[in-house]
Amino acid sequence: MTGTLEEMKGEELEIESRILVFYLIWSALIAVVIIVAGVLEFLITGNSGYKNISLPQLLTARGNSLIFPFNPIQIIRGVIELKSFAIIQLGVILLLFTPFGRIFLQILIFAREKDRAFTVIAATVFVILLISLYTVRFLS
Amino acid sequence: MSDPIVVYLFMLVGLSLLAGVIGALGGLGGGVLIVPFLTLFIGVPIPLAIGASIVSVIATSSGSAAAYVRDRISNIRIGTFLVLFTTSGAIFGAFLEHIVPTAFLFLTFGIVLLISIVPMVRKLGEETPAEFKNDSIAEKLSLNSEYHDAKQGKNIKYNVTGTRSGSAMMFVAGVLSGLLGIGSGAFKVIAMDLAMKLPIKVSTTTSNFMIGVTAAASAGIYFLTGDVNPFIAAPVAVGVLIGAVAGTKILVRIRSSTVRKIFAVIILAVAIEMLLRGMGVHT
Repeated sequence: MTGTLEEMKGEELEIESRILVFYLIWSALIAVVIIVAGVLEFLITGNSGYKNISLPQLLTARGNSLIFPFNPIQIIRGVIELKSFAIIQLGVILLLFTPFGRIFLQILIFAREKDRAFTVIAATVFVILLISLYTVRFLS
Repeated sequence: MSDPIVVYLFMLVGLSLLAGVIGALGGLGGGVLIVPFLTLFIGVPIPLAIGASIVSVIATSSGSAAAYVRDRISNIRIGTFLVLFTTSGAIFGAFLEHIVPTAFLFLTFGIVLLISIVPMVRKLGEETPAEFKNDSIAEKLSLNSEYHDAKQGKNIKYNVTGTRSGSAMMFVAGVLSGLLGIGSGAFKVIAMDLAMKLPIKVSTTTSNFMIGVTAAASAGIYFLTGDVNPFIAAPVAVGVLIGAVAGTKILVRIRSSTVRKIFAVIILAVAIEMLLRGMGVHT
């Protein structure tokens, strides 16, 4: 064993921040690549995989699952059928979940450091994020 | 596929790229200009513009957060503690967005843009703040830390105060993020700088670390209610991301306050336009 406790703690943090950096970059990158793939498919085939509509309708379409999917089950179904808008939405939803994963990773890191207060704080943030998804049912 | 659809797709990418570059050059996230650009230039309904913008905020924040964890200036403990309040605020903001009238959104947006200009033209808190003790919450959670300042060539230790008022301001920053689909970085920096008296470098980098998580709290709501339209959100996310990266690279080279002031004028014009929209004056 070499080095003081203080130095060892510093080294450990280094590895953990590296994991965090790796996660942050790659999770976003994968999501963006999927989004770009969906856009390219749309450009090449000219088919969204959903209802064919005019440009003004497309620019103002909201909450209409005939035009684009927005719940996870519809998205997975669309992706299996290789529909371009479903692929884009898969990338978008992955992107939206990257911060969930980041906080989850932080819970593990704080727990490993035996930092009880911050394990609880990070876990609470995670719960708040989950609650945000639940609140949608009061809006639709 | 009809040609206008292709043209619009590229227009969306181009406009978002521009918003990303201007945002980065002005020291803002880039998200703050997306909604004005989409609503004013392309005629996208404001809820869809907000839905696309919040997605782009997450896209750009992950990359910058990674950079800030690496440079070890951002204070992850402070950031994690404060996102408790920004995420709660963001849920509230996203709810509010679904019930308030459109004019209210334009007006709030105009005001937020005006406030965002303040840190661009007037430098917030100078280098090393005066010495003070930790407040009780900061002491308990050991929020104080230190960072290496390359310019001064030494480590700078700092304490944290005003955690309560800082947290309250973070809730407001979260509400604005959820309501308007922005990262509300300027407000986070103001809260950490003014209330908690953190060194400005720590405030800006920690704010960037917090933006993605804050945005995620309302982005899920926008997505699941069907306000994230892939035809708009995809080109916007990609455009802003490329624009912000390019803007940051350019920023390192020019570093001039005059450039910032030029962009401040552009944002001022956009702010006035949004306010006029909100008041029902179409220009």
